[in-house]
Amino acid sequence: MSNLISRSPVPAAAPPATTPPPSPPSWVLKVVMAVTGVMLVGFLLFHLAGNLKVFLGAEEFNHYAEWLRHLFNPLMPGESFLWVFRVVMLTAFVAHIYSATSLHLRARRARGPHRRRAMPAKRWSVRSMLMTGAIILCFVIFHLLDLTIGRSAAATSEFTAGDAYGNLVASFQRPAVALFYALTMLLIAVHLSHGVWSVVNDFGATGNRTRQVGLVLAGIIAIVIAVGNMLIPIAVQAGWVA
Amino acid sequence: MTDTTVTPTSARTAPDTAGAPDLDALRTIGTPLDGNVPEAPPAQAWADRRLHYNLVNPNNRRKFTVIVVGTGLAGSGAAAALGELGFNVECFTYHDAPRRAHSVAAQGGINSARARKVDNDSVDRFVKDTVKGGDFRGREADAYRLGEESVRVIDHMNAIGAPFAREYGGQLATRSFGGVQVSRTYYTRGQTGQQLQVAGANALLRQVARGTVNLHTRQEMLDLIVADGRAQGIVVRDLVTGEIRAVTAHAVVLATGGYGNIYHKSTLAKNSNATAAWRAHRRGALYANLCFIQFHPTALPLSSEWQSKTILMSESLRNDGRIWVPKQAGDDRRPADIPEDERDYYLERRYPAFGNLTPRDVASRAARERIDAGFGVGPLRNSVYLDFSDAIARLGRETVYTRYSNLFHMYQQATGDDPFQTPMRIAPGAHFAMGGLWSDYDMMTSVPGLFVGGEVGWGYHGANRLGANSLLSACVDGWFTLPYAVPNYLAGLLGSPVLDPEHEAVTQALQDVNGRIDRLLSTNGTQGPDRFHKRLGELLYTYAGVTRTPEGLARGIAEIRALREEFWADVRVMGTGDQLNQELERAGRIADYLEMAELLCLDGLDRDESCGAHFRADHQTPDGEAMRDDEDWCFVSAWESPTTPGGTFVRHDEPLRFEAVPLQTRNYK
Amino acid sequence: MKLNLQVWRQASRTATGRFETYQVTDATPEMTLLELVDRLNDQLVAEGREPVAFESDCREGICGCCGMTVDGKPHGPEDNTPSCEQHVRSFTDGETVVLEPFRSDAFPVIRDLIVDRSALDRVIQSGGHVAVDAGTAPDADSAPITFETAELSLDFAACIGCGACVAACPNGAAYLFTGAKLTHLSLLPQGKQERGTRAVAMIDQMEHDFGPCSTYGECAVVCPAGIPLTAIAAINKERLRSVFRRKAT
Ligand SMILES: Cc1cc2nc3c(=O)[nH]c(=O)nc-3n(C[C@H](O)[C@H](O)[C@H](O)COP(=O)(O)OP(=O)(O)OC[C@H]3O[C@@H](n4cnc5c(N)ncnc54)[C@H](O)[C@@H]3O)c2cc1C
Ligand code: HEM
Ligand code: HEM
Ligand code: SF4
Ligand code: F3S
Ligand code: FES
Repeated sequence: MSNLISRSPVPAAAPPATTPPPSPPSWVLKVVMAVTGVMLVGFLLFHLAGNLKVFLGAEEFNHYAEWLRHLFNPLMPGESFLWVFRVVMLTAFVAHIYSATSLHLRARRARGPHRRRAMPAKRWSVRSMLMTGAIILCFVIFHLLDLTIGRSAAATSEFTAGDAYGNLVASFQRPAVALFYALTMLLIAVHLSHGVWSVVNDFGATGNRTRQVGLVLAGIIAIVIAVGNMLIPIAVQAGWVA
Repeated sequence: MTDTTVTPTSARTAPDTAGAPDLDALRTIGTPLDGNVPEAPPAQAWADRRLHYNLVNPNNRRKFTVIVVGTGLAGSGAAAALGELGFNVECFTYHDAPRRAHSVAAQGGINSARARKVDNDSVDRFVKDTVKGGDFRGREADAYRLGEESVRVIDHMNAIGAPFAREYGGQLATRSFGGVQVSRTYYTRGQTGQQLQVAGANALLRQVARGTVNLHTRQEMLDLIVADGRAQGIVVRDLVTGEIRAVTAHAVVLATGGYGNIYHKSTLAKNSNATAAWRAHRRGALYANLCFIQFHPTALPLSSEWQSKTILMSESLRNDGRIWVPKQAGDDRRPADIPEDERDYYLERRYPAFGNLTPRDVASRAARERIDAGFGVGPLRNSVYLDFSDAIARLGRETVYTRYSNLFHMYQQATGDDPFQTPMRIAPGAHFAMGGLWSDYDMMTSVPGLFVGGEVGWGYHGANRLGANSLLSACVDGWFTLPYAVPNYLAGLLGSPVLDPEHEAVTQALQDVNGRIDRLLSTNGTQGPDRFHKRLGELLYTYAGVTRTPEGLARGIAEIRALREEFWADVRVMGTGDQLNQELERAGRIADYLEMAELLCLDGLDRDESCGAHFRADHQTPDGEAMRDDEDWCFVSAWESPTTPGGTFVRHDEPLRFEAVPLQTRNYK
Repeated sequence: MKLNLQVWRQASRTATGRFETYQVTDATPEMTLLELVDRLNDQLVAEGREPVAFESDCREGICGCCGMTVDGKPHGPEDNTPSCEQHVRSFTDGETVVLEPFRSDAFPVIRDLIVDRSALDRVIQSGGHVAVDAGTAPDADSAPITFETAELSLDFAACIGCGACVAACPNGAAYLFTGAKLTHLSLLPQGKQERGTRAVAMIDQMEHDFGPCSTYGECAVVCPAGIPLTAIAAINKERLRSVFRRKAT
C-alpha cells in the first residue's frame, strides 16, 4: 500500500514579496518613455516646420537655420541655447533608448520561453517598436553626419558648413539617400502611430474622450510628420527644389 | 405491506402501494433531537442568545486555532471575521484561489429585509416569506436571525467593495424575486454572487496579509478528525503533490457548499462536491433532509450527449419574461409563428396572483408537468419558452438590455440563439440543496466543535429555498453568526492545547484516507469515474427528481446499491496518488456521492408527504397541488448512517414549532 | 466532426513538456471546447491512458478557473470568451487544434494544461481590499453612488481573475487585471480611503511577477469579462496620482 501520509506542514499560499520591486520600477521607466517620447515628438514637429521652409527657398531656409543657432540671443549668448537644447534632447534620446531596452528585457523575462504566437497582423506596429526605433537611431546618426557635421560617406563632397539649404539639396539629389530618408519617414510614422497611443496610456488617461482624441492624434501626428518630411526628398528628386 | 411509523392523513391518489418497500428494513427511528433554540419568542431569540454567549478575551484569542474549510461566501466570511477578531484561522480550499468558490456563480441577487421602500416589507414579512416559502420545514427562529442580520450584510458587503446596483438618485436598487411580492433583492447586474464572492475573498486575503489567517489552496479535505467526542482537526490531500496531512485545531467550520452536483447535470460547478460534509457525516455528524433538493425552473435544457452541465439562467428573468408552451402538444411551428391564442401561459393561468413569479418548486413542477404531458418545445421536447417580446415592447430594448445583458449574452453563448429574436428555452435543473449537515441554532452539528455555514448546512430554507435567500444565509452565517457562536464554544476550551498530531484519532484518520485512496487506485477496472457519475445522475433524475413515487425511490435505492458495487469493482482511476490527479479527485467524490445518493432516496421515501421541493405523486390534491402533512411530518429528519455493513440508517427527529407564522398551506393561486 | 488535438503534456512543474497528438472523431459543433477535452479524456481513459489535466469549474464563464491556449490564443478563437464558452463550431472538420497551457513566466505549469496563477492573488493580497471589519460598516445608503458610477465600477469589477490577459500579453503583463481592480475600488466612495496606498502596494507587487505594458492591447481582446483597455491606463494614473497626492488616499 502506497503511503502518501506526510508530516510536513501544509503549504500556505505564498505571501506577497517583501523585497522592493525592480529598480527603477517599470512604471517609472514607462513614464520616462512617455515624457521623452513627447519631447522627441515635439522636436520632430518643430523640425518639420523648419524643414518645410525649404520650399520658401535658400534664403529663407538658411536664415531660419541661422536664427535657430542664435535663438534667445542675447539672453543666451552665441550658440549656447542650441547647446542646451542639444544636451537636453540627447539626454532624452538616451533615456528613451535606455528605458525601451530595459523594459523590453523585463518583458521578455516576464513572458518566459514560450513567446506569444498567432497575434493579429495589426499588431506589427507594436511588435516592431524596437526595430523601428533602432532604424531611427541609425538614421539619426547618418543624418547628423550628413547634414550637421558633414562627414563624408554620409555627407556629399560639396558639404559647406552654414549652407544648410545647399547641403540638403545636394544630399537629396542622391537617389539612394532620398529613398532612405523617405522610407525612414514611413518607419517613423509606424513608431509614432503606436508611440503616441502609448503615451496616452502612460500618462494615465482613462477618460473615454481623451483616449479617443489621443488615438486620433497619434494617427495625425504620425501622418503629418511622415508626409511632411517625405515631401522634401521627393521634391528634390522631382526637381521642384534645387 | 404496512407502514408502522407513519399514518398518512392525506388521501393517496395512487392507492396501489403493493410495490411499496419495507421501510423498517432500511431505517430505524432514533432519539429525538433538540435544536437548542432559545426559549425567547423567535423574534427575540437571536438577541437573547447573543447576550448569553460566552466571550473570549481579545488577548486570549490568538491562542485558539479554528479550521475553516471553504472560501465561498460562508467560508471567506467566517475566516475573515474570526481573523479580524484575532483568532488564529487555518483556511482550506481545493480551488487555486479563494475567489473561485461556487458562490461566484450566483446571478440573481441577495435578499435583505432593509425594508426601505413603502411596499410594506419588514423583518416579520421576510420571516413569513422564508418560513412559508420553505413550506414550514425550517426553524422560525433561524429565519428571524437571517432577516435581522440581513441588514448588516448589505452594509458590510457594500463597504468591502461590492458595487451594488444603484438608483439614479444614488441609493441602493432592489428588485423583486421569485416567490415574494415585495422588492427586497439587492443585486449587481446578473453578477451578484461574483461581486459578493470577490469582496469576501478580498477581505479574506486582507486577513492573510495581516497574518491572522493561513490560507491553504489546492488542499482538499478528505476526513474529519474526531477525538474525545469533539471535532479537532481535518485530513487534507495536497492536490498538487498528493501528500496527505492532518491539521488539528480547537474547532472546525465546514463551509463547503451544497451537494446538488450529485445529479451530475446541475447548475453547480463541475468540482462542487459533498465529500467534506459526507466524511464529517461518516464521523458522526447527522445529515438532515437530504431529499430537499431544489430544481431550478430556468436552467438551460440538455441538448447533446457531451453537455457537461445545465447552466442556470437567473430567475430574475422571470420578472420580465413570460413562460409558455404551445396549446397543442407537439406543435412544431417556430415560436413566433404560434399566435397568441394558441399559447398556453400556464403559470399565469394556474397561479394568477403570482403568475410567472411563483416559487421555484411550483414553477419547476408545472414545467415538468407540461413537458411530461407532451407540450415540451425544442428538438428534444424537453423545455418550455421564456419569452421577452412583451417586455421588449413595453420597456424598450434598451431597458431590457441593461437588466439582463449578461444573461442574454450567456444564453447566446451557450445556445447560439439571440433572446431578442426568439424566446429562450428553459427546463428544470438540479440546483440547490436545502438539506445538509444538521446543526443546532448555534450552527453546531451533532459533533461538538464542528460548525457549518452556508449551503453545506440545512438551515433556514426548510423544504424549499426562496430565491436570493441563500447568498444571504451564507453571508449571515459567515460574517454575523459564526463569529459569535464559535467563540462561545471556544471559551470553554481556554487553556487546552490543540490536539496532539500523534493522537491515535489523527493516525487513524490519516490511515483511513490513505486506505481509501489506495483502494480507488488499485481497483483497476474498466470505466472512468465520470461514467459512474453520469449514470448516478440519470438515476437520481428519474427516481428522485421533480416528482417522486415511493416505488421509484425504492427502485432508486436498489439501483444505486448496484451501481455502487459496480463502481468498487470496475472503476478505473488512471495515474498515481503522488501527483496532481483529477481522476482520483473525481473518483473519491463520486464514491461519496454513491453512498449519499442512497440516503437521499431513503429520506425521500421515508418522508411520506409532499412538501416544498419534495413532491410525492402519492400526496397531491386532485388538481395536482402538493399535500403537506403537518400532523406527522412537521420535523426535521436528521440521519445517521450505519457504521457497520448491512446496518440500518437511523432517523433522529427535531420537531419544529411555529409561533410567529402559523402553519398554513401554501397557496400561490 | 473529426478533430486532431495537439496537446501539451507535462507531468509536473519540474518535468519537461511536449506535444502529443490525439484524434476525436465524434465532435459536434455545439460542444464547448472543454466538453471536447472531456470527450477526449473519456476516450483516453477507456484506452488506459492518462487523461489530459485541465482546470474548469463553473463552465459558465464566471469562476475564472478555465483557461488554455488554443492555437496560440488564450482561451480560444472567439474574442472575449472564456475557454468553457468556446465552441467546437469555431473549428473546421479535420482541423488540427493546438492546446497549450496559459503561457507566462509568472504562471508555472503544474500539470498538462494547468498553471499556477497565484501571482494574481498576491497582487490582491498586497492591497486589493478595503479595511473595514465585520459589523463596522455604515449604512450602505449613507454614501450615495450615482447609477453611472456604480455601473462603471462594475464594468471593471467584472474581472473573473482568469489570467488570460497575462497569457495574451507578449510582455507577460498583468496591467489589465491590476488596473481593473484598482479602477473598481477607486471609483467607489468606500474604496477611496486607501486609494493611494493601495495603488503603491498593488503595483509594486505586480511588478515582482509580471512584465511591463507596451500597449499591445491583446489583453482586452481575450478578456472574457470584457474589461476595457482603459484599465491599463489606470495603472499609471493611480500610481502617478499617489506620487502627487502623497497621502494614503
Ligand atoms: C448557478 C447558481 C446560481 C445561484 N444564484 C443564487 C442567487 O441568485 N441568489 C442566492 O441567494 N443564491 C443563489 N445560489 C445559491 C448560492 O450561490 C449558494 O447557496 C451559496 O453561494 C453557497 O455558498 P457557500 O459559501 O455555502 O459555498 P460555496 O460558495 O459553494 O463554497 C464552497 C467552498 O468550499 C470549498 N470546499 C468544498 N469542499 C471542500 C473540501 N473537501 N476541501 C476543501 N475545500 C472544499 C470550495 O473550494 C469552496 O471554496 C445560486 C447557486 C447556483 C449554483
Ligand atoms: C525621434 C525619435 C523617436 C521618437 C519621436 C520616439 C517616440 C516614441 C514614443 C512617443 C513612444 C511611446 C512612449 C511610451 O511608451 O509612452 C516610443 C516608444 C518606444 N520607442 Fe521610441 N521614439 C524615438 C526613437 C526611438 C529609438 C531610437 C528607439 C530605440 C532604439 C526607440 C524605441 C522605442 C520603443 C522600444 C518603444 C516602446 C516602449 C514600450 O512601450 O515598451 N524609440 N517612442
Ligand atoms: C526629410 C526629413 C528631414 C530633413 C529634410 C531634415 C533636415 C535637417 C537639416 C537641414 C538639419 C541641419 C540643420 C542645421 O545644421 O542647421 C537637420 C538637423 C537635425 N535633424 Fe533633421 N531632417 C529631417 C528629418 C529628421 C528626423 C526624422 C530626425 C530625427 C529622428 C532629425 C533629427 C535631426 C537632428 C537631431 C538634427 C541636428 C540638430 C542640431 O543641430 O542639434 N531630422 N535636419
Ligand atoms: S482582466 Fe480579464 S483576462 Fe485578465 S484576469 Fe480579469 S477577466 Fe481574466
Ligand atoms: S497585452 Fe500586454 S502590453 Fe499592455 S495592453 Fe495588454 S498588458
Ligand atoms: S469554468 Fe468557470 S469561467 Fe470557465
